[in-house]
Amino acid sequence: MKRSKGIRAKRMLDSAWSYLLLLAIAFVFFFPCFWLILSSFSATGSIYDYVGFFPKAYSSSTWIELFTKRTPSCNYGIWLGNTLYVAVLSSIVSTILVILTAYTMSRFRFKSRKSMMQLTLLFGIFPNFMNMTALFVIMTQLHLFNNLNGLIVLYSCSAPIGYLTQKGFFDTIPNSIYDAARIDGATNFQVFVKMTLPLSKAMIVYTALTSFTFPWSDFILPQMLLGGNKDNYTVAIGLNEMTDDMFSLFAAGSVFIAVPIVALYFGLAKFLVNGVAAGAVKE
Amino acid sequence: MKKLLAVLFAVTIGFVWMSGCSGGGGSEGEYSYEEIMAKFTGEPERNVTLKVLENDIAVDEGYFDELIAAFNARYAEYGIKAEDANMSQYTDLEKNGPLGYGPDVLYDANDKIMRYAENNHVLPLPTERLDVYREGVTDEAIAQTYAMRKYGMDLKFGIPIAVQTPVLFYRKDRFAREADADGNGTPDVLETYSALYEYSKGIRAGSTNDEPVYGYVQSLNNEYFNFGYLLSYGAYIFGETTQDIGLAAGESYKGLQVMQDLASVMDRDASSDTYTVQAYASLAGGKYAATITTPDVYVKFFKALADRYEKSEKLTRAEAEAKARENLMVANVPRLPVSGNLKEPLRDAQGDTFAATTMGGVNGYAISSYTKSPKACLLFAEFASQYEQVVARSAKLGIVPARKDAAQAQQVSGYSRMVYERIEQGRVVMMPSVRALTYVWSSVGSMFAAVTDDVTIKGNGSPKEYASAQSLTALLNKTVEDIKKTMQIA
Amino acid sequence: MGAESRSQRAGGLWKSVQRFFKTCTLSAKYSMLWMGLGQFRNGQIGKGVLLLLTEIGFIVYFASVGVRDLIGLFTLGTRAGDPILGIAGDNSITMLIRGVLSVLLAVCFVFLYWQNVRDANKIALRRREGRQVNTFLQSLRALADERFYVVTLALPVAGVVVFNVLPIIFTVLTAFTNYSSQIAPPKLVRWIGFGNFVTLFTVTSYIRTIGKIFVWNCLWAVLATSLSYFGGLSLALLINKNCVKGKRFWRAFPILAYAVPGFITMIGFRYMFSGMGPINWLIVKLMGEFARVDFLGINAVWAARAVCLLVNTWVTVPASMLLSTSVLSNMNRDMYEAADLDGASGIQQFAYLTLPFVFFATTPILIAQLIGNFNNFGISFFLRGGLINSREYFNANSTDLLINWLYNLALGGSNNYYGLASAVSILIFLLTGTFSLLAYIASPSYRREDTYK
Repeated sequence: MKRSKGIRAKRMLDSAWSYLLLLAIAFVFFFPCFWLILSSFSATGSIYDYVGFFPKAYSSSTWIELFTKRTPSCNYGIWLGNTLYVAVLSSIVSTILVILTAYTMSRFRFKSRKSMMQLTLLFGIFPNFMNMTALFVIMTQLHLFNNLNGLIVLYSCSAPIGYLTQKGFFDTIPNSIYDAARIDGATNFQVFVKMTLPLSKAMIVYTALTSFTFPWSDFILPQMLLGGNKDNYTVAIGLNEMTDDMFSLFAAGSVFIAVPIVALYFGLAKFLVNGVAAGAVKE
Repeated sequence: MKKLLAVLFAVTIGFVWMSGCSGGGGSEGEYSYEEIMAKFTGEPERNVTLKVLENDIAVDEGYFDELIAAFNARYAEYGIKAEDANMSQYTDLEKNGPLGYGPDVLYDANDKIMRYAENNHVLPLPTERLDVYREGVTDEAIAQTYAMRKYGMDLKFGIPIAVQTPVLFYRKDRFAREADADGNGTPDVLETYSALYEYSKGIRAGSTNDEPVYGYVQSLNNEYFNFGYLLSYGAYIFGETTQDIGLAAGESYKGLQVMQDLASVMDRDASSDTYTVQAYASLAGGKYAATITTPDVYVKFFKALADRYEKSEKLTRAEAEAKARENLMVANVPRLPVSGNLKEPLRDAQGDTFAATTMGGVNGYAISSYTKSPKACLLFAEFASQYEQVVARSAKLGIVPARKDAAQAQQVSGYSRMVYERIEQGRVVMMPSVRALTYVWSSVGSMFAAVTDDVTIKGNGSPKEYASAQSLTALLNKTVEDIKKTMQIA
Repeated sequence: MGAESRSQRAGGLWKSVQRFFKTCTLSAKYSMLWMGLGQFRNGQIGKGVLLLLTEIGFIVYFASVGVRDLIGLFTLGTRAGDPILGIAGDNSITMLIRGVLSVLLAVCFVFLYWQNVRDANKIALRRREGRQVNTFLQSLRALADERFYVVTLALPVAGVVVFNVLPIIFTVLTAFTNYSSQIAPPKLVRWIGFGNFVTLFTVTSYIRTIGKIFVWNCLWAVLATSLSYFGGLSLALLINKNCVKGKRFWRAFPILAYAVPGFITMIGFRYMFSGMGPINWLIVKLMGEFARVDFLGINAVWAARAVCLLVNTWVTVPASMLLSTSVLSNMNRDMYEAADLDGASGIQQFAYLTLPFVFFATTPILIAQLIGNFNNFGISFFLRGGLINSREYFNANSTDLLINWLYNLALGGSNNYYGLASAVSILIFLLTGTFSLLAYIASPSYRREDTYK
């Protein structure tokens, strides 16, 4: 009797501690986001008018300004259009290429396969922008410099390098399913379209999501390859060039581009967890 | 077979690539002035559109639109049109130009234009045809910033428009009760750094820690402004060659001592790299009373102050602007004490002090060597550098004209005349137009930070590591060595 | 292993080529003469025409620009241009990249030629045996089905070659030139051998900078990875505890942080930690004016590094938590029950059950994270706000990693040292490449890939 009471007290203490810790962690993660949202409603716009963490006065004028202003330093509508264009198209093309690569590498055995896998691992650790000078020259030679399509081509063509997560997923589909279909006379193409794709919806969503978010928030490549042309600015470049006295504009612009991603992540949380796990869990 | 097709695909990609080929010939040798200026001889090109890369403030404030509208109307008969290149102001002609992506005409600081000139990215200009280079129109010190010896000739690569050198911005209301013994319109406490130091110390001591108020604050992170303190006490940048670096010349350590004293009464934010932008709001909000910066940002201070009046005092825009214009004053940089010690009270405000020397630069237009219509570009640069245009630019943006006649025009603010006088008296040292300067800036920047951090962060208000003239001189000498080392590499 | 076996293999190759010449069919010899001729002889007209045209294409390419580009790769141009006088001259940099491309194409050509001969031989042998020979259409169909992987990989491989392999080759080659913003077109760039590496390792200010950055870079990679790894694992375990209700609710906060684009987070934190930012306001409020910390100032060292680690942890813990959660969900519950019965404490269970399991399942990801953190460009770039020259550093500051330094050298300041930056890329590549290749090959999931199915 006495012992079980002791255990219960211990458990109570344990869960109290757990909740306290969780509250603290939730605060740490939530507060900066909340801070950014509040900042976007700052009345004066400059970060120097704050008392501590919070603006002195609030107004929604920044949000109106964000979508109506048409100056070189704030042309959010154009930036958003460019970003959306690049991110959506890159996402579509990248997803196709990555899924194809991953499926092939998982399903087929051919002579150069092993060496190709080692090579991609090697390229994968060579971040693309380490070759920025080279990319700059190549893009100008291909007339893709200063051009949003150039970014799409670049994002899509580098995407297959990161096929490992998807390959990990395809590895989990037993070969016996395919073999049965092949015996029934289906071509490889039919197998891929009619059997593999329906089985891998989750993976496709995950791939599309990750290959959408990268161009959506990338800064380095657009900065390098759009040649400073303001008609081609993406949100990331535009926001990064904002000065401190435009902090509420920066905050509003950031919140606005973060919202779709946050919504996507929450809406597709299940796919996300499975996707992250697929590359890792093998045993 | 399978491999065949795979490789065929790669081959096709390769062929698509081979779209254009480069060619042409050339040789090195002697050229006559006429050959070098060949691009500017003859009738201007017709029906061309020029891409002009302007300074961001001029675009944001609408001056640039007026300028191109006027230019396009004037040259409509030739079909020449100028338009905003719509590029980031940091676009690098050195990189984009040879590939055909740069602007035709660009507005930039002399050090950058001359860096382009070094590698032939901008064209030498036919100075004999340009109004700004007529005798007596532009001060020689200003004109010289665009000069470079090339092809065995002295050539000029830019068209000077605006002079950049620090001036003192202050709020009149904060000094309303201060005496003005000499009646020159500037309160006496703003005339010498010694008095300004005393004033700032008192103001800070009289305010609370929760809502601190400061007197004089300036960026401690800006090599360009801070270099003035060294120059005033006898330092120079380059001697005869770039190997002769005169950072430690004269009594330049006194300049660092002045900085240390000033830093001790300043807001700690002064050493932040975002100070420049913050200063607009802080001056407008009354946190600072005075600061130094270049005249081209007058409009930024003005806007911040007008915004503040409009929002907090519920004035109309026009009233707020009038009030801001009334309150925002510009004066000469204060005089420096001969002793280099601001804490020592002055017995004679004139005799114990001397007029400060500041760093300067010249912003202007240059024409890209890669433009297809150089003659039209020259027309644009000529048009933009006319008396009327420069006066209009100065009236709208508050810049100090590089043309003497424009600097003395009625419509132009009074400090333009004041700055111009300083240039003529030789108290503005123009930034040398050599690439080696960039090596100086990076080393000097961290030296200034070390000296002022020593006071503000380490010393809690008084110097710790660099408390003596010897230690400061040693630091200066070491910095010179550092610069030389980096120059060797390049 | 080594030289001996390689020479044996090369000798073997030569012998087999000789043998092939002696024994091959007439069709193969036809195809050696001109691509596609053997195929004609075999009656494969469609394929033959295609190959014939390919050779013509190659010859036209090499005659028109290929040979010139190939020579250009070695000379890098002979006539300097002068845009002032309107003299076009040679553009060394475009010549370099076109030269590389011409080499790639030449290799392609040789390979194609060899395949063409082999194909002709194979088909001829098949005909001799009296087996059926595919028509052109049939070949295509076979390609689409049996060689499905060729079709699917063609586009990705081509993309990767042009946008990843070619740039890497270019970067490696640039490391051996004097390419910089001072020596760039219209001036001629020159090959300088190992000059950049010599500079990097002999000039004191470079060596000092490299040494400092390298030490911090390694420390950073280890610290940042372990913080995010164990942070994520602990968080996952905490939320997984039986006593915690509303798991999805608690998980939502880290996911929120995960979803915000990285550069926004980092710029936001830069403002928070700036000299006049809210964090300093709080410090001043609590401890007085002189307690202020210049977190991200120009010469700040450990304060700035701590902020970087902190922010990086904030950014990366959520992903690591998601990973741990899904790994934990695959764990066998029975083991814990057994451990409970045996009287193992919570800590013992963690150390002997949870940790080994999670660690084993996530080794490849852990390696990838280590590499990713080693090359984590964004943190210092966004938090410090671009290029900041700290004291005792050349073109870098205390939180910069090698990859930041590389960026600063190549694009950061007004002087761009492309050649040097490429040399630094090679160093980074050698370091991380060796490490990760060894680690990957040693990792169990790579070795046992096929035993799994």
